[in-house]
Amino acid sequence: MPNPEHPTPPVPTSDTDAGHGFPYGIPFTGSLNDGPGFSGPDAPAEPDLYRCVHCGLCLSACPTYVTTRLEAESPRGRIALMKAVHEGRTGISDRLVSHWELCLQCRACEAVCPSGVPYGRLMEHTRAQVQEHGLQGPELSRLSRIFLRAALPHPRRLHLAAHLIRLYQRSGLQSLIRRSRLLRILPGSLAQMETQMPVMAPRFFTPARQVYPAHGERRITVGLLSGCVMPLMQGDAMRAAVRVLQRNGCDVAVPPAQACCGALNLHAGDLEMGRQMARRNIDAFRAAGVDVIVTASAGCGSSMKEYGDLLRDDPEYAAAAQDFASSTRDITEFLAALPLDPPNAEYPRRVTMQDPCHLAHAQRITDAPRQVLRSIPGLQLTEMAESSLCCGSAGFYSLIQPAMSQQLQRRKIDHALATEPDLIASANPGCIAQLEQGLRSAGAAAQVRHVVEILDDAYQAET
Amino acid sequence: MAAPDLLAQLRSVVGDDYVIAHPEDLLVYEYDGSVDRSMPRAVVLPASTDEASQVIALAYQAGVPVVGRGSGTGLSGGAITPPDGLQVAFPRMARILKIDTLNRTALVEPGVINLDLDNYARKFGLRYAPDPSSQRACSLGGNVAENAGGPHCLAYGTTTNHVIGMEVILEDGAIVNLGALARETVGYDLRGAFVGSEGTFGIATKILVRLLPLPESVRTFLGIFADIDSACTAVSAIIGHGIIPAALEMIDALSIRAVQNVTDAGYPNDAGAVLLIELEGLHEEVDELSAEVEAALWDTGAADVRIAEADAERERLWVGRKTAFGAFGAIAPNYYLVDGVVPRTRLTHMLRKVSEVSHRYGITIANVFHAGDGNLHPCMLFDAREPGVMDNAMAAAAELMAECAALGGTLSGEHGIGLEKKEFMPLVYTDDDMAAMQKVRNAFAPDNRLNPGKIFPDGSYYHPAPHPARHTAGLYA
Amino acid sequence: MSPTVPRTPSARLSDLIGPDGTVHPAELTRYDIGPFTPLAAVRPADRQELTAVLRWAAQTSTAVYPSGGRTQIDLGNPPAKPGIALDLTRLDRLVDFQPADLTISAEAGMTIARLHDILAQDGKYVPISAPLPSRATIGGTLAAGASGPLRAAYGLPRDWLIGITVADANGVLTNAGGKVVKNVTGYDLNRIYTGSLGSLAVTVETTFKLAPASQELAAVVARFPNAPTAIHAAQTLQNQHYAPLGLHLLNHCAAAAIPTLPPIDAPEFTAIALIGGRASSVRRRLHDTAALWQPDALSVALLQNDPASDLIAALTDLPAHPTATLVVRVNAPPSEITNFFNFTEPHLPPPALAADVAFGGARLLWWDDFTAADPRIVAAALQNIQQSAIAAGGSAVIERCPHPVKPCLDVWGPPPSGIAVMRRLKAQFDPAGILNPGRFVGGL
Ligand SMILES: Cc1cc2nc3c(=O)[nH]c(=O)nc-3n(C[C@H](O)[C@H](O)[C@H](O)COP(=O)(O)OP(=O)(O)OC[C@H]3O[C@@H](n4cnc5c(N)ncnc54)[C@H](O)[C@@H]3O)c2cc1C
Ligand code: SF4
Ligand code: SF4
Repeated sequence: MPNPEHPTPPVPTSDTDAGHGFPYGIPFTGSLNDGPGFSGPDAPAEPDLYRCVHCGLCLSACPTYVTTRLEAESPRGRIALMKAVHEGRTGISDRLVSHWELCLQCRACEAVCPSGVPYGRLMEHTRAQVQEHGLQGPELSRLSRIFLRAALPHPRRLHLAAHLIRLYQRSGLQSLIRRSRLLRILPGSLAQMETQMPVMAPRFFTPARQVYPAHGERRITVGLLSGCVMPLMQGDAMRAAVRVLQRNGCDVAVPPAQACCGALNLHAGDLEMGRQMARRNIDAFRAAGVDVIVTASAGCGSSMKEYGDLLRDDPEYAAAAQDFASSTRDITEFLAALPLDPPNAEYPRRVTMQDPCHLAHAQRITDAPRQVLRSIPGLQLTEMAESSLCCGSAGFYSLIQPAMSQQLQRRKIDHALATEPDLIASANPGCIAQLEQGLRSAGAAAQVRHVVEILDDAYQAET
Repeated sequence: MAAPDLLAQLRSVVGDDYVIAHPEDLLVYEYDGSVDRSMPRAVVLPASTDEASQVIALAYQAGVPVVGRGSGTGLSGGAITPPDGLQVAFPRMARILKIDTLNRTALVEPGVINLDLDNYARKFGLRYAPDPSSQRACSLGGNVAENAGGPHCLAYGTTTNHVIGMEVILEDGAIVNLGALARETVGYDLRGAFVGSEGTFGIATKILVRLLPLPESVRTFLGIFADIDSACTAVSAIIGHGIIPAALEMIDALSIRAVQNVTDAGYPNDAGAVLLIELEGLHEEVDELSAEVEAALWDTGAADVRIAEADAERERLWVGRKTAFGAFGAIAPNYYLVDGVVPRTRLTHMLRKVSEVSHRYGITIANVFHAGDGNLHPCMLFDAREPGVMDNAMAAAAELMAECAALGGTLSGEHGIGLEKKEFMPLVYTDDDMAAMQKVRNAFAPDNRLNPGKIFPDGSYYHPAPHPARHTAGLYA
Repeated sequence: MSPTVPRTPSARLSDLIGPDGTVHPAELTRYDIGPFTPLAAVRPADRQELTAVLRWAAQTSTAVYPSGGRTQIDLGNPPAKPGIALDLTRLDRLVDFQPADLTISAEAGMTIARLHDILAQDGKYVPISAPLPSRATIGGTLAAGASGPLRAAYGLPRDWLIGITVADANGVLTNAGGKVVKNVTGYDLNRIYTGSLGSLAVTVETTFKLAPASQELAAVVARFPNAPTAIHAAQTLQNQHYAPLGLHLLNHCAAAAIPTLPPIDAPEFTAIALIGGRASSVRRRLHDTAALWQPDALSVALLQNDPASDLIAALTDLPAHPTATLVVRVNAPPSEITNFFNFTEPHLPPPALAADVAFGGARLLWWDDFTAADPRIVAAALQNIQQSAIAAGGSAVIERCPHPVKPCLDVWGPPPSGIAVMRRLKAQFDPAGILNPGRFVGGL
């Protein structure tokens, strides 16, 4: 132990003064395990990988790093693991997959990366490789089997499932089961799924076949994405979106042939299914002859804006996909640019904005929703801390990574409530559900609303 | 070799979850922000000074070297750990323990992120002045080890001017306080020696830093120049005029375009160079100095001068500066940055040399740097997968460092010597000079167990991986 | 060459550096350190002579007591062994002044006053200050770690020293740092040598970075009826944007010892705000400070230019007050330093107290005659002060005390936490213990 009178060691000469196993970094050849490597056209691309210069500037933007402060749970770490697979230094293993699957794909890292590393694309491609080799974690693989492949692509099945969930929730069966000890005997993640189950809207949004006409003079024809879960979970928000667009001089078409945007499949690594859905949407909106495609779901919007990239190698659809992508707008982006007609009555509410990742990071839109909110007379907009740090919803993330999801949810709710809001504004169905659930468990009185719902309410208050 | 034994002991100190030893998990601890790589034997995440002390004592007894790790943004390979070594990282020691508004100090743990501290201090009308461009990622522990600087260090000094005291752990696990609550102390200034010792003297577990009051007035200038020569003249004019701005940064044409490609920082795309100048102080002072700075800019041939006073606009100008290095990733996948310093009057000469070297070696070199203190950052951009390119870049770097030394400058202004520059030390120091330095290390770490093999030349020249896609971590031949 | 008869050290020394460089034995007492008279004293003219002397000292294991202007020669514990005085005042050349680059290099024997004169000609300034600047040398000031009344704004000398050349205990010259204002190449030895009281190496040459000189100097001097109002006034000022360069609080004994201040007879407290910089900002600071203090102050006076710089000089000189018998430097954070106004020590009369409330530090001075006092009792009282300073998160150094008191205490106080490292440091640099032996912390 410490010896205050340490004997004076000789002054080292210029050659190594201590035998610490130098040289460093004994050449490292071979792979750490015999897992599979990356292969095929959808493998993460080398130029994308090496664009990361491991500067670390993305670390503090990453929700999983901020929470754990572990390099393996950081964007830089996840990319390093991809590089290691790419370089053949390790195969894809459960450990690597666990780090990748803790990623929320919120793309906060991408938004701050000065080097322009396309992290979202890298992660989608990595997950595709993982899925291809059947190495997904058990939760994700079950979910993707049931939900992503069997339900999402089929609106009718989804509808049916939602009806059943609603029935379950409203019949009183849910509270009965929750009060009973039944949940405890379910396997962990199923029980988790139950409590995470979104509250289904009392009325689903069932689009009309005909066009919703503009109020007053028509300025533009808008195609509205109905999406997959949004009309089911947040029918009110969809109806509000239609009304708000009409109020601002838009004819609103909701093409019935459209499919889910494919975002969830893409994030899980199911690129093929995602491409199928993209093609269907391109056809549907082309047929509807709209000027611009608007979505009230930030997650969908970000995928749709990337159709061009997704179908780059599809000779038949490449050009149409580009067109589609460049005509897509988030509804707040669209309204702010119109610009919208401000409500003429006071709507005094204290509102704080939660930036959905796929709006703030993937689409880099943070100002538009605030512009919309600020246009409402009497509305007081206050900023919460870390407004663009992921709330932990992230598609099915809350089901696959409940612990991390809940941590982030709590963090988000704490920050939001610290501003003492009447309303928390968001612009993405997943976030809204996550925040609602968080507020419920916090027992807070504040409510969550889509930005367009708030605008719609303000219009309703007009005289 | 005490591997399994040592790991078990470490686990019993910090808990099983906090000893990372599986090679697949260690893949993410073999790099920092520099070009070097080496996989440590294990990474330990202590939760307290006590745990850290026990961990380091165990490693000491086992004869295993210890390397501290902050956020791994270091640019000289400081956190790169020898294969038999233990990395000690601080995700669990990342709390701001206390802000003392009367004495204007903050007591923090080493894992606290620089920007988080600054943001927190701002709630009290204070700030933490050293602002490395990596401030949103780098840790105070790493800042202390490297004596990190930043744009605003021109006026306020680098990290060492802001650290009042520290609790550190020596190589044998002994816990020692350096400095005190008072800024002046008795005895040798061990605190001063520790800051910038690159993790070779001890591991800092608590850091007491000075906070400064926020200025009354801030004004940011963008001086736009047709070429880099006239921008350099402007720097000399301002400094020679006896004005030390809060910050005085230069961004050259290539960097302007790289930045503008990624984000609109408001730099004109066709400029040959811009100067980013910030003045702080009382309204009166800032007004008076502004007029003089503006005059100096026009006098030295500025094509335009823009002034930002609104926060949003200032921030935009700064975002460009602070993301420049990252933005180079869009030009080439690898960069190698020389951190040399020259007397400010030799900037023009030095930048001509940089451009000459760039042509002669056929390497793209971008310049974004702390012009006000003569701290260059010629940044070579290349694709290391091309055969021979790395050696070429290293040769060019060597020539630039030699030139800095020849002009009366030095090798590193803020990133440290670490692994990458150690063989260049003889350019500025004699064997006797370095022996004097090693005496200090021998006093702190007689057995040289902390971050060994850094700073001093030992003949193990850097040979980077020729092809990152086919990795061989042959840091040394 | 000198004959080989047994010799006093000075005889051998004169061979090395010639008669000009040696001091006549009759004048040796000029080099006394308290009751200690050196065996010989040398005044090397250049680096060759200096290193020759040091090599000789190393070979003969003779202790060396470096000295500059001797303004702070009393600082430190008594010398531990006989040895020679090494007078560095002839090494006083200006080596390099680069006004455009804001750097200057000068030899260690140059006086502070001359350094400032050279700089002033070009409107430059370096915040290195010591009492009696026309005698104090750069080397001595750095070794003693002295700092002046503007240190709250400018920082300590170690923050301005960017390069140093020293001669080590074997007479080998080494460099550290350089001539550039920002430098992390290798360890920061500048800071190790600064404040080391010449116990590690002998400073030969120093390079500083520079600041533009203030266009104007000014001061606000206010009198307050009691300590709490004065402290409150000072702390309030400290939180303003227009906070001064230096902020000092003096009890009435201390104020009475500053010749440039108006006479004081009531037990009032004097607050001094030292102001400098651009003319425009000086006006604003003066005006706002006066306005801030006016309501609670008994009187407020504004000083400009010469009277202000005279006041700064007088505050700088205070610790070296010629007739003070006891001087203690207290280092403590600003929040604690003001408590020393209430400090009473049963075995000592009340001191004059001048506190630097912005930086955190104070000087306690006594003019009483302690010759009749029991040195152990005085020492014990001083040790109490040291303990209080430590309890306040700082330390206290007995800068001057009656000779009989010194052997009864460690003037630096109990060894600080890093003492084991400090001992090893000393052993590394000066294994034979010949540089200023015994005088530094813990008897190093
Ligand atoms: C894009 C970019 C921009 C940068 N800009 C700047 C800049 O403007 N100015 C500047 O100075 N630097 C800059 N750097 C370099 C780097 O950010 C700094 O050196 C920073 O201080 C490193 O901090 P870190 O937490 O990442 O430390 P790491 O890289 O993890 O470690 C750095 C060194 O600190 C040691 N260390 C870490 N923690 C401790 C501890 N607790 N105790 C003792 N030693 C410890 C390590 O062993 C290592 O030697 C930049 C880097 C990047 C990537
Ligand atoms: S992803 Fe971007 S920000 Fe993150 S480490 Fe890589 S280059 Fe840096
Ligand atoms: S996408 Fe989000 S969670 Fe994933 S690495 Fe990037 S910032 Fe982290």
